This record gives sequence, structure tokens and C-alpha cells, in this order.
Amino acid sequence: MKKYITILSIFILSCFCATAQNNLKLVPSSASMIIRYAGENFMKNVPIKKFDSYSFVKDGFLKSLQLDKKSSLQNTGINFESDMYQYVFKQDTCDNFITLLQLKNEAQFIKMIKANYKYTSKIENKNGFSMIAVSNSMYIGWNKSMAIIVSSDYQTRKNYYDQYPYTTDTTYSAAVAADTAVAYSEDIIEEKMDTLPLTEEDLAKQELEAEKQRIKDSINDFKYELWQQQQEMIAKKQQQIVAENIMTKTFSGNIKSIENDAAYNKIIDPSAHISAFLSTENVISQYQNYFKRGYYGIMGNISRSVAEPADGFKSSVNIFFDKDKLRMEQKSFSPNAEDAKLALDVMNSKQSTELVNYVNPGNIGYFSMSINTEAMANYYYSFMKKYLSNSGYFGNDYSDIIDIYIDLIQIIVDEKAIAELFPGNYMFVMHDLKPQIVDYTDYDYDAEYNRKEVKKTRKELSPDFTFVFQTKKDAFMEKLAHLPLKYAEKEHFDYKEKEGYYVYTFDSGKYPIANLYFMVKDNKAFVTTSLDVINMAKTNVAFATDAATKKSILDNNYSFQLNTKKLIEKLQTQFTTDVNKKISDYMLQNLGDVKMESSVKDGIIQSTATMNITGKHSNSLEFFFNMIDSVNNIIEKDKQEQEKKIY
Amino acid sequence: MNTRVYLLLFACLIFFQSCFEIVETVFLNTDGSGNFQLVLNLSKSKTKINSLIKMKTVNGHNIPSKEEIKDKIADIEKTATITAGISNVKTTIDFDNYIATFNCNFTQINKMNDVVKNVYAKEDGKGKVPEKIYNYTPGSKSFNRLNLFSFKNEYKKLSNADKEVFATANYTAIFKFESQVTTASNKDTKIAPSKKATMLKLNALDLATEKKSIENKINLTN
Repeated sequence: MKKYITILSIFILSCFCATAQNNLKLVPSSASMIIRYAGENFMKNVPIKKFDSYSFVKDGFLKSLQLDKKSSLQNTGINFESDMYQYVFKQDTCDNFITLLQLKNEAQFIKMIKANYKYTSKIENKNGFSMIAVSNSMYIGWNKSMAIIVSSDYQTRKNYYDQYPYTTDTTYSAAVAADTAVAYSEDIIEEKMDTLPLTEEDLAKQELEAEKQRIKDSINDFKYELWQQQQEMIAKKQQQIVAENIMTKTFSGNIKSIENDAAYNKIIDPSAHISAFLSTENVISQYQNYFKRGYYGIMGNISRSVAEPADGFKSSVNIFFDKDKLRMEQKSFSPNAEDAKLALDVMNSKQSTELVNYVNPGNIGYFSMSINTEAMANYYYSFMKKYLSNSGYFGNDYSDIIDIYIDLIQIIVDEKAIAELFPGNYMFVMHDLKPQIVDYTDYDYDAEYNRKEVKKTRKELSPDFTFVFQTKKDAFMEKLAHLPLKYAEKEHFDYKEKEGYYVYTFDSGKYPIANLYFMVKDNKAFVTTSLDVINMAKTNVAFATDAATKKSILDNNYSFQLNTKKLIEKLQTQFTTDVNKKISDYMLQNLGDVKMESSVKDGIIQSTATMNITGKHSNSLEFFFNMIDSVNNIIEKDKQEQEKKIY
Repeated sequence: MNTRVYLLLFACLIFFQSCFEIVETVFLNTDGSGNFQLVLNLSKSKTKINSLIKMKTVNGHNIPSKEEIKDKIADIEKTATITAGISNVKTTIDFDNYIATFNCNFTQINKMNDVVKNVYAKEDGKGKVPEKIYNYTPGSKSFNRLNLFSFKNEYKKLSNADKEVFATANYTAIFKFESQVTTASNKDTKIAPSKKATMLKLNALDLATEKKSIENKINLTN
């Protein structure tokens, strides 16, 4: 638990940096991902003194930095009133994760560095900055006012088996042959052991072969070890060169910055507490090497398939810690007109008002999705063309043939018919979690403790849900729902046709669900546990869904809502340990509803997710820290109580 | 009781997140022979298990298939059968209610210790082999149920969700004798009116945390 808290704390620590100084000018425009922490807002929400007071900071985070628990984050030498950026950047075949910090006290920062790393490396003075290698892949550089942490990973390590392939390496081939021979002879021995007695000569031969094999194996192992050590040295050297190079450029300010990038400024909100920017094609191309390094490079094709269609997409997440809720705004667009049109066409759909009818008031949660299936199918044609024409198997030489081939598929496949079967409107509603009576076997004992089996019952939560989607092919869906009737008797399952619907009955008391109902009616297909919903659909009756929910569903392509209080209340009945009860009590008192909406606004795909908070917190950021602290305290207290019981 | 069986099934209990009951029954004749029964009852969690057993892994743990569970129980039966002094070994597994049973006769109760050791060795158990779980010499006036196995360290490492398994689980030990019981060292032991049977029912959480113990020294009149 402490490990996670420490990781989280490091993340949160970043949140205390303000925008007083603009480090954005030191972030290169070719960075694939950029995270910005707007510390000014953080400082307003949770002052450092408050943060210092949390037990998980005193006992976990400060300790991990080798600082006294009575110390403060201020004593790290980091200027929490200045800004901080983290970005991912590829240079000279190394993938780099870089953190930019401002310092207010170089001496304190060096003291912290020495306390943590003095035994692992020594500080080197470079041109205008100092540097220490924390590990083979992580380097910290600093001057009087700024620090930079570079985590570098060399991406073009050679594969041992490329150098010594199976087919041309005679030693290896011989080893494989010998290995096969030994394995085969062992198999024979296993099989014939009982019937054919082995002579001493046979055993001696086998022992000789095995000894030869052991020698060959040890030579191969040694060669492999040396190879790996050599590759590690090459990687270490390259990583250090790249880290130094990034630091030199950063401290000299010699960087082509993303500061004035139109796409970045279009979707990053300066008023957010945290902003993350993702340049999709940069991410994919940077991580392509990971896939290429897969066995025989097979995974390389997957990376291409993901990279190409996403070409040009820019995405962002802006996080706001409001007073009463945590708010996440996500934006995504492509400057490439063709890509942008494809994406917007997919979102060109409106949820059916008829599906809203099945969202009951007081539900636990629902998820509504409305996309244009026909546009989605067209999107895949473009996807396939780009994937196959760049595929390692076919290559660019065959791109024209692939283009024609995909066009042919497009002619043969009737995407309009697919869109009629599944137009793209789906709704899932978790109506409730209802207690269901299930039986179980228990034992009663008479006065002489003779055991007797007895059947007892208990209450268990059973999900009450409905999944309904639109279809314009009622007849086909009806055939599909009718099909299991033919096999029910033969396969011994309980599937029956009722008046206008079908019901699958689970074995009594064996599953959390008793019945599953299927129905196709008026361009809608239902899968539900609720007979009420089936009857409502039959008589065209609707739930009295509230206006706000209706609006959210009908105005957005995606709409999601979770009534956390109701969910926790239901789940609490299943908790038995004190610690889980206490944590759920805390969540019940402090967590509010979770909502998400997504639609196209101003030509950008925009999503807003919110998590409301209740309880006594100044704002949602403080709630976040309070929650970590409280849950950690509950768990630690329980551990101590358990220790007392054990020892 | 067969400690190794506990270990083998312990994994299943955790994977299935199930409340369970273990019932250990020994019928002991004065000459040291008798009958042993072990029941593992997971029927209280059968709906959950029915859902989980269809999955290959849960939280990174592999879920044993019905066939694997059957094979494991068959292995235990085979090992017990070839142990000297053990006869009429029978195992059952009811996948409707998720109840597994192990039943055998012994010429001497101490032979059950050999069953535990043999199963432990067969399963390549790491750590010290439990030497004795029962101790009784014909003609002596005391029967001992020992517990040399501890999983308190394993328990401490479990997540809160996994610890839920133990909160509602029970362990019951029933010992029956030809002669009469005078006293039992474990204060949670109940003695039948006839004085020829004892019952010790404990919460599995108390056992896991070693707040309570299954150890018992039962003094007899013979």
C-alpha cells in the first residue's frame, strides 16, 4: 500500500508547482505527451503546510526522500511556487521521460540528492549545470534555479538471435540437433522403460551425449551473457549521451518549443489544475520500436495498424479540482481534414428517444452510446488500407493492389445493411441490485454431534439490468432469439418462448441471476433480467425518466452515470470485515455521483467527466488527499489491530 | 486433519472469494483404529463460484477448472490409498453445491500423520513437513490434536478483499470415542451429554490470526 501511496505522492507533489515561471518554452514541439501542473491553483486548494500534515506524506513520502518526518516538502529545495512540466520525447533512438522543476534552494536540493544517491554515483560538473547518474537510465541535472530529471531508454538494442540466427549458427544447430536427439531418446526411454531393459552400453552412450550437451549449453549461455552485457554497456553509454544532450539544450534554452503550437493551445485549458497533451502519431511512432522488438518483429505490424489511422490526432485532458467536484474535460481533434471528417462522421448520430424509456428513476447507473455504424464501417476501410499498405508482409510495392482489394470488399460488404442491423444506438441500465434468496447446504448437529445435512437460504445481491439496442432488422433478430428453442431440450437448458418474448431460466439457486429475458419489438432488441421491462415494452409504457437524464442522453453521443451512494449501500450488505465496512462508510459519506458526457462541439470531440464530492472538504483536491489519508489510516489501524491479535 | 489439503484448497478459497466451512471428524476406537472424515463445504458461495469457475484468471490468480480440481482430489485419494494402515479411502466432489469430502479408515490414528506427510511430499511441499497432527497411544488416557502448521504470515499478506473469505468461514472438529471424555484443554470445546463426543467450532478468521487454536488435548477415562 505504501508503495502506491508513494508513487501517488510523487505525482501529487508535481501538482504544487505554479505557473509563475514559464517552463513551457523548454518543452520541445516534437514531444509526444506533455503534462502540465498548474501549481498556482494547487497552492490555493491545498497549501503545502496542509499537505505536510498528512500521515501518508510524513510516514511515506518524506521517508522515501530520506527526509525527517518532522521535515517539510519545502526542504526538498524545490520551488513549489514555480511551474512544472513532464514530457515524453524521442531522441537518438532513446525514448525519454523528462521532468522540469524550478529550484529555490540549490543547497537543499543537493542535500536531498546526496542523501538518496551519494553511494550510487558522484556529481559531475558540466557546462552551466551539475549532473548525477542515479541509475543506468535516470539522470538528474540542475543549476541554481532549475532541475531536470531525464529517464532515458535506448530503443535499438540488437537481438542476440539476429546476430547468431538459429539456421546459420552451426554450434547452435548442433546443439539443437543434439538436444532433439537427447529429448527424443528420453521420450523413447520413458515409453519403453517398462518393456525394454537398457544395457550398460546404452546408458553410457546417453550419459556421454548428455555431457556433450551440457558443455554446448554452457558455451552458449556464456556467449549470451557476454552479448547482453555488451548491449547493456552500449545502451548505458547512449542513454547518458542523450540525457546530457537534453540537459545541455534545456539549460541553454536551445529548444524549438511547443509554446506557440496552435493545436496545443487549442485544446489545453490554462485554467486547469492539470493538463495532459497527447500527440497520437508521435506516441505511436515512439513506441513502435517496442513492438518491433517483439519476437521476429511480428508485433511491428500491430504498431503500424494503430499508428496510421490515428495519424494527426491531438488529444488533451484538462483536470479541474472544483469546490464540489472533480472535473475532467477531454478534447480530441485532427488537423488532418480527412481524419477529422471520418471521426466526426462516426459521432454524427443521435440517441433514440425510445431507448431512454428504459432508464428507471433511482437506477444505480446507465451507459448510453450513439454512434453512426455506417460511418464506423467506412472508417475501417480507411484503416485497413493504411494498415495493409504499410504492412511488413505486403509492403508499399503492393499498396495499389491492396487499395483495389479493399475497394472490392467495400463493394461486396453492404455497410448500409450492417447499419440497419445495428444502427449504433445502445443503452445499458443497471436498474438495481436486488437481494435474491439462494439456498446452500449447512450442517446441524444433534446432542451427540452427529452431523446432518440441512438446506438453508441466504440473501445475495442479484443484478437487475437491461441492455437494449436499436435494430431495423427485426425479423433477423427474432430468428436469432428463436434459434435456441430448437436445441434447448437436446442440450438440457431451460429456454422457452412466452407471449412475445423468450426466457432463459438458470438452474435454481446456482447463479446470481434467476432469469434472462430476450425480446425483439418495434426496432428494438432487449436482453434483460427484468420482466417488468419486458411487460413495459410490450405495452409501450416508459419509466418516468427525469428531464436532466433525458437531456444528457439525447444531447450526447455517450452518456454515463453512476449513483455511487446507492451502489455502495447495496455492496455494503456483502462486506463482513471491519476494515472494508469502515472504508465503505467513508466512501458513502464522501463520494458523490459520477457522470460522463461526450459529444462534438466546435468540430472537436469533447467529453466531460465529473465526480461529485460530499463531506467536509474545502475542495475536491483536498478531498482527494483526505481520502488517501483516511483510507490509509483505516488500513494501518486495522493492520495494527491484527498484529495485536497475532502476536 | 490433513494439513496439506488445507494448503491445496486454501488457494481455491482465495481465488473463489468464498465463505466456506471445514468439518473434520474422527471416530476413534480404544485400540487406536477408527475412521476419518473431512468435509470442505463451499455451498454458501456456489453462485459466485459458478460464475468464477468459467473464468481462467481472477486478479491474476489462475482459476482451477473442474477437471483440475477432480484430478487433484484423485491424486490425494491415490496417495492416501497407498499409505500403510489406511483403507477404504473415498473422496467425493459435488459441483452442484461445491462440497468435497475425504473419508478413510485407519488401523492407528497415527497413520493419518503419514497420510499428511505423504500428500505433502507428493505435492512437493516446501518448508517443514508437519510431523504429527494426531497423537494417541492405545491404552493411554489422552488424545492430542496438534497444529504445527501456521499460515498467519500468508494471511497477513492477503488483501482486504481476500481476508473477507475468512470472516464468515468456520472450522469444526468433532472427535468421537468409545470411552468417556473427562476434560478438554481447548476451552472452546463442547462435550456431549454421553461424554463420548466433543465438538470444537471456530471462526476461520480467529484461526488465521491465531487468536484461537485447533489444538486440543482430550483426556479419556480408559
